[in-house]
Amino acid sequence: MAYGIESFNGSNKIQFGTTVLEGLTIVASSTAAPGGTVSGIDPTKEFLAFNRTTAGFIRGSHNASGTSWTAENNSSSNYGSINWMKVRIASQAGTQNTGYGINVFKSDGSISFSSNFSAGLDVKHVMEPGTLGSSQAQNPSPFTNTTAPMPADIGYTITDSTFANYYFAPGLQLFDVTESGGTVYGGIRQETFKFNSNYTIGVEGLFSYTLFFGYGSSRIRQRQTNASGILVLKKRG
Amino acid sequence: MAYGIQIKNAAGTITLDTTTRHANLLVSPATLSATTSGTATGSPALFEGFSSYIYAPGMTASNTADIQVHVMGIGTQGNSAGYQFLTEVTVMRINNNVRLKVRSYYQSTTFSYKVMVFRF
Repeated sequence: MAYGIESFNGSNKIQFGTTVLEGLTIVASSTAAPGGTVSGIDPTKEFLAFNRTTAGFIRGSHNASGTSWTAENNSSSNYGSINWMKVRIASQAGTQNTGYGINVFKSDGSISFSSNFSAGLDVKHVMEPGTLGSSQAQNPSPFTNTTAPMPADIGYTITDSTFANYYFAPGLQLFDVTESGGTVYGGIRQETFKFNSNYTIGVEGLFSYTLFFGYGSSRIRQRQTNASGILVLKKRG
Repeated sequence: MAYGIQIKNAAGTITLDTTTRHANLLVSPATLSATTSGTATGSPALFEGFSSYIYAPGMTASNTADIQVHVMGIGTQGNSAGYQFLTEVTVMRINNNVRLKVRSYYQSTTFSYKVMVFRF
């Protein structure tokens, strides 16, 4: 480090620094009821992360442009309401120059860390694409799985014995994007999470597409590995 | 707290203490694009392409506990959802750089992904 400030935690992992690092901060959070929508997302500088406080699933879909997200419309106990938070790159989060406390800036003047952040935000883990979930066998079994148990791989184990404050960011989740002209073409992938009562988190990809040629509008879900990376975040305080 | 520094915001919420593994972006969201070839390779036979490298200082092929790569979203290819079918994305790490490998049923097609790199 040629100049500035760096801070390391008790495990000698860096927390913030002046030279190259930039933080993330939470700019909004709430709860989406089944079928509820989170709107006003700017995919160029922010993304959503999701949590639930009881065992069950997290599933939902972004629109094609990534500017809104809708929770799966299923009110059964395994689904229900989903907690969400909007995470933004700190330099795009507006001024932190009000009030009091500590700001750390990068050499380009963008902010690396601020005690004015709404809460601390730890990155606990990053899962790379294609590393989790079970690919389904070849035809015809992919056509029968919509009600089958989700096997999933365990992507993360929460050691705090509580789901509270643990959020999972799957990037875009998209199902059945409508092409111009109103015809649904092909399909799209979605990452899905299963919170288990033993505090393990299952992760799996789903591929969805609509049948053609006389099969009506039935939609198929096929299990696959995760197509996008997944962030595991913990909100502090 | 036995040692170190603890910072709270005006609401009394801890924003930093000695256990924090803060969200540090080594590479802010960057777009990596890869164009698949015209000849299928591997098993299953798919069309393969590589993105350019982005600079991630300190990265090695193996230090995944210190530097981790997040590939946001499921990629875009024009506005056609169908292109997402069975597109495999792999993170490829070397010293100080990272790129993506894409394998797809679609030849000569460009796929774009947003990538963030975290350092701990």
